[in-house]
Amino acid sequence: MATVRRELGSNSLDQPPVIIGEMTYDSVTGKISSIVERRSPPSWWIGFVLTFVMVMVLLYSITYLLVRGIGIWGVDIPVAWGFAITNFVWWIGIGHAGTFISAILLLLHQSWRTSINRFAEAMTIFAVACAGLFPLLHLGRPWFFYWLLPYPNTMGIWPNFRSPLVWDVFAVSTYLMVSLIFWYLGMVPDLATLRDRAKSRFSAIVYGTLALGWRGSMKHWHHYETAYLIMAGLATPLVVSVHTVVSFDFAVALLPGWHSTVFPPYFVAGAIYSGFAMVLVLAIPIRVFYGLKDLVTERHLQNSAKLLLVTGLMVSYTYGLELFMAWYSDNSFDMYAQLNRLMGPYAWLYWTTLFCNIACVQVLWIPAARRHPLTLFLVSLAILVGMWLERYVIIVTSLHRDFLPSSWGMYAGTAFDWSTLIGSIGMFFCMMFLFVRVFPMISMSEVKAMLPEPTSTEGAGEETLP
Amino acid sequence: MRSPIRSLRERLPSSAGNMFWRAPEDIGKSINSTQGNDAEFTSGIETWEEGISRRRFLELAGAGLALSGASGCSPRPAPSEEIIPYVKMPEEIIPGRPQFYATAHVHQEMALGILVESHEGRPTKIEGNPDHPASLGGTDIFAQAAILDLYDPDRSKTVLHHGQISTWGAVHSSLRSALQAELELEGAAGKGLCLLVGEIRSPTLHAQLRKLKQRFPMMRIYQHVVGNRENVKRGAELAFGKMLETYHDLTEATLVVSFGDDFLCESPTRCRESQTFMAARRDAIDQDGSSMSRLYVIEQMLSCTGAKADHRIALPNTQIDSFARMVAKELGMPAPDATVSLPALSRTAKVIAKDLLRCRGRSVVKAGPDQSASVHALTQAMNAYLENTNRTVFHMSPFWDGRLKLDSNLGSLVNEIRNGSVETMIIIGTNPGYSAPADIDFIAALKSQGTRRSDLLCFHMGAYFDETAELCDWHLPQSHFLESWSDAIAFDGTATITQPLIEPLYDSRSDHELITFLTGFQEEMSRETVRHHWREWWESHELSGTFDEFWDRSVQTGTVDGTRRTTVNVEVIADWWRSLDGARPSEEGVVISFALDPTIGDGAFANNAWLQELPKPVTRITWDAPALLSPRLAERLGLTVEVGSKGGDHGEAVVDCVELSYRGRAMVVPAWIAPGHADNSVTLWLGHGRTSAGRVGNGSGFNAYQLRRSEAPWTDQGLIVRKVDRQHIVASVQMQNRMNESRPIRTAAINSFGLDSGVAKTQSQNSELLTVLQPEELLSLKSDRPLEGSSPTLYPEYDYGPPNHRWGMAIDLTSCIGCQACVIACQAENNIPVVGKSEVIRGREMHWIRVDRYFSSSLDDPQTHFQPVPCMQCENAPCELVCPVHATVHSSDGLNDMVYNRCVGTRYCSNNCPFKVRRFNFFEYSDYKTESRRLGRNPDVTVRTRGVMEKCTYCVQRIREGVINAKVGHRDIKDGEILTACQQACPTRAIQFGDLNNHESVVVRWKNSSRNYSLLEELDVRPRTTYLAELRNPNPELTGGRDDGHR
Repeated sequence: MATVRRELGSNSLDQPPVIIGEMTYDSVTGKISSIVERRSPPSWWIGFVLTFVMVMVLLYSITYLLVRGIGIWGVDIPVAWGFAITNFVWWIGIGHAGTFISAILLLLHQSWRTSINRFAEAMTIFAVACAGLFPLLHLGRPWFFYWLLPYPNTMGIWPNFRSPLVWDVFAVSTYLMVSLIFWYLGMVPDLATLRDRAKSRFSAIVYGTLALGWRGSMKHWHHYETAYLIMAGLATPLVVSVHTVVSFDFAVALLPGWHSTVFPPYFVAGAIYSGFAMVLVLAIPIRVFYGLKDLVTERHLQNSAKLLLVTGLMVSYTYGLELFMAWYSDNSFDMYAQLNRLMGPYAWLYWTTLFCNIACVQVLWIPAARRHPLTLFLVSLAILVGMWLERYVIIVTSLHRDFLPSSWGMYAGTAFDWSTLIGSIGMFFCMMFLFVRVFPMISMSEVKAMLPEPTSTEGAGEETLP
Repeated sequence: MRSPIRSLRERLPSSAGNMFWRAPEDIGKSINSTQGNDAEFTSGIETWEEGISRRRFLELAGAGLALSGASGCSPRPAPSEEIIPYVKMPEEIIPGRPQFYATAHVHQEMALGILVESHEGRPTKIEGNPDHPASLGGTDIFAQAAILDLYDPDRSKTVLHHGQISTWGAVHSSLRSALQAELELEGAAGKGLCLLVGEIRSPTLHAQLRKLKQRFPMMRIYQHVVGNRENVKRGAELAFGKMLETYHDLTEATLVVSFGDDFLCESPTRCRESQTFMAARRDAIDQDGSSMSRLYVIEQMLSCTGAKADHRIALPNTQIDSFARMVAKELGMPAPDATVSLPALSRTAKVIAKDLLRCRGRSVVKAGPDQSASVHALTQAMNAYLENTNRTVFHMSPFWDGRLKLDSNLGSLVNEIRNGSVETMIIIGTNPGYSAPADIDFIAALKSQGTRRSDLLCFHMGAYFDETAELCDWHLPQSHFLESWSDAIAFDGTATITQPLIEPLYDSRSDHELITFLTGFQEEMSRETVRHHWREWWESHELSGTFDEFWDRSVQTGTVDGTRRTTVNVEVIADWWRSLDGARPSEEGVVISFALDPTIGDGAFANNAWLQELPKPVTRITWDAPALLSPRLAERLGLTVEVGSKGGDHGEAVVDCVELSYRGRAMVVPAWIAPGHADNSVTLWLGHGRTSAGRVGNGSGFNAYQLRRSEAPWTDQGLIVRKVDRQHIVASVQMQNRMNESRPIRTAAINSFGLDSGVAKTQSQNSELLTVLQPEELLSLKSDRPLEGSSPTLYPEYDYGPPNHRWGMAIDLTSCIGCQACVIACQAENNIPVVGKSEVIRGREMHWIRVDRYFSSSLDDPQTHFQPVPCMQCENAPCELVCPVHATVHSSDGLNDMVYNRCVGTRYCSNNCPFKVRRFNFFEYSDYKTESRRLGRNPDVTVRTRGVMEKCTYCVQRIREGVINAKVGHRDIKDGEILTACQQACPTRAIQFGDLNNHESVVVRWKNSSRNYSLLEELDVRPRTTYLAELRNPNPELTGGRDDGHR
């Protein structure tokens, strides 16, 4: 705790403070709780209604899909995977930042994470929820999705444990589960605060139920901190494993452009890259709209920007590595697959990917750019687009020209592909809107733990917070 | 008394496999003592197009109850033709076991003997009849697809009078009153009567028409057949001075020169000729290759035959005559002068002539039916000059009695109608309302002031309510050939009595029945008519045994003994060449040629979805008929072909449109740039753009009949082509013509040891045989991999050894002619759905086996390669690894099985399939709704629902049946006992399937050949399907001295 306090005060080494201004326990509680307790501002309503309409578009698209079949999408032979799997990988990648912030940064004593970890975790869950839609929907017969689960059945058949898709099921469902528990667990003290401040009977009951009888006793805090740390430890390997497993979907296949050992680290780096981009895309407007600039400070933006730069460079490196390995392998199919990316019919997508993911992020070498919210916002948007395109390029360009030229084809998403993607984005933001409306979007207890003068012993957590 | 069943059984060959067949009524006679309600499918059966409402259901249930007592009443007058009742099970029929019956399919006026597989009375699949001379066991796409026509829900089902449902009774009374009036005209009976018929393929029908003509001496019989053989007949007449039938035997032919004849894929004898030609080539290669035949093809549009040619000369159809004359002159025979001078080809003509002279008596010169009579006369004369007669070329007297004159001049019929000299017209089985030449306005003739002429009573008999039916007063539904008795003759005169497999599904009659009625105003079942005809024939030939024995034998075997014509010796008449057409005035403009569509013919098959969706050979276009033109012409016109963004190269070609102006008519059609097409010429496919074909055929493509003129039905000059600013999407399933890195096709030219040198190769011929190969190709060919995968692995190998089976396949690329029969056979056998043009454009066609086509060398003179690609049944199957639910798994005999019920549709297997042979049901492609379609499905194969992956299984249902049969009989499976559908249909026997554990089997012999290679060997997926490299035999004199093995 002592270290935290010191850092709070110091402005040395160009580090902006984690929290600005004279914050007290009361002001923190008031500021964060009031977002939930007050009536929503009109801007919230506009955003919510807009995204809700997008959710309806998604529901329509899904209903039509279930009625008509997967053919309403643009998938064909040879490109049997298209938007759906692209979206899946993209959303799963976005979901990585939350857990990375909550778990890895917690373990690495990065106290600046406290202001952003809550909504980053929420973002993770919503992103994984969006991601989870796609593997289900892209099935030819989605009503049999449970055949991928190892459950005792009268058919006496297990899933094929050699198939990366089965690994996916385990990886993603575990990840969702752990993220959900982690997020909820971290929210329990804050829910108790909301319960205590509740003005209506209804909210008192709801928050009271969710708060699981939290009274803030020392014993509670002790168990809480221990459990939180254990969950962090559990979640940490998942950050790496989920996207590794997702990358196996491609790396295990023998398709040129997919079959590559670089994929696991490549995908993990890409996931964190896009995840932080999404954190910034969310955090930058939120701190403006809800006046949280003193809690989500330049320090957060700057640190996220640095992480963007690092992961961006890792991603760039793997792009180069892919090309190098294709050349070095002397395998004509691999070489053709890469050349086709560079110069084939989808080349413009590849070059856009490179622009978004490699070129744009270089701006962040400039310290001023790292502190400039609009620049960061635009760069993050570019990265999100770029990362989506990257997956699209990997999937489509590898499939559309593989081994036998007689089967070469093309792929283009249909209106339903787009409506499902846009609908899933709507669903993500709609859930974010609901989240900021009903849950404290910043962890009150953790922020309070960082405040300089603990006037009461409650919630200090000196024993466990290092 | 001996039981007929017993005598039947004795006559049948000992039942090796399921190759036996029998006339259904033979059984019926002995077992079915009751008559009447014996029909499994009576003609009264109606199908419901849509679901039934609750109210309707109750109504029907009630009615069903009430009428159940009346089930003995048949809507057709008893006696219906006897077929087998299933109330009492006949002795020889085991439910679930198919029966095979011999009959014949007629296309282009000639019979192809077939065996029809029947499941519980439903014909489901057509195979070639190995005992029939035209089939030799192979089939073509039209025969394979005929089964779909039978169950076509768009077939006409009832008699229609001015569009209203009517009855046969009404038809008969109308006909009777009209014809009675004709008969009363003393000495001029039939003066107002006109008959317009299509193909006449049945001797019985021909005899019936003669009889009818005797009754109505003044009646005129016109014939309208688009793909007629007029030029063939006229050519023979020019050369020999009389009508003759000619056929070729390619078994001994070491040199074939084809002037525009696509004899491998398009001619009526295609199954026989392609098989004998390719069998001879394979035998030659098996020896040392020195006697491998050589094929020269001179043609306009790149055809299958052109694709297989060792040398192909692309010439517009108008110049082929001149080239033939040049070759004839080079041969040293008297021949007329070329009308067009072709100096660039003089050397080629010289070389061909030299080759021909060297192969005297062992060569065949052929001409396509769309070539002029002059070309036919020239080829006949050349064959005679080259002493090929009675060695490879055989002549017969005409099949048809010349006393019955069929007038093929549709124009004079139209004039007659216009004059009002026709009062009653009966149109049978032809569709001039659609296919009449543009200068003969048949439609207008039948109308006055926009409606039907009131002074003309017009009857139309056809299987569909088509464009012609719309113009006629009466429409009479015609039975499918699998529903009625008839007969037909093959290229050599061999007759087949075609038996029905099923009672007519609808209230239809055969043409025999109609003509019988016209002659005597009496109804007679066509079986009686046909039997009567053959009884007369049998009596006149004084054959041994009883007629019933003769009849049974003929029907069972599918050929009538003693009908094969004897060959006749004829001499070319002196100065034959003087009577050939003189110089054609050379005209400006582009050459326009018409050709029957490779898959839907003259349009008669337009409503057959299998044929519509079948990729046309070479171009691989489906559902459409763009104008084909050469890359050079396209360049001059500035035409392009773009790859669309949806299906892309695998479905969506965006092409420019051109306006074709020809003799005062213009039409805008999409243009297809066809590599190898002769320059300055355009080929148009007939058969598309129909308006009343049915729900499948309407609106596909463009109607080329609108440009076709009666005086130049096949080719002419004077076309003006202009690019217009419009684009059209053509569904072509393969636009990638290059082979790229994978080199899927390995090809080599035989080192020409010379057709005449006969150098015996003493050692290791095969390696020498391939000396013209490029070095890297040679390397890959020589990597003689053993059958077992030899790549190192840490895992124990699965033991596929005996008593297990190891099913494997080998496909000979030398023999594959790209005819697509395997594709349709597979579709019929495996209940493969069609998806329609919009889905093909999306790259979602469903064929389990595809025939890939690649081009090599130049765009203007490409070498074409075909490669049938079924599932490779990899031993290390990459699809199996990635399926999350074990829906695709390996069987103990090495098959890569697909478990449809288990498939959830992740499509990962398809992604991971290097050969992309897997097909996915993106929508509910299988038609579960149309009742009649269900009857035609193969009950041994699951019909796949939406969301399920499917693929070739090596016809696992046939394998299991064979294995079970062998097990029941406590015997081993014989090689060739189990045939896959593609293998069985293949006319050239390019596909061999069998047990790799059986070292005697053909497939093992093929796989041990040095030509054997695997596709994408380097992936180590160990395909069970392998290929034999393609060999060609180019003439070194024309290949620019690449090889001087010939001295």
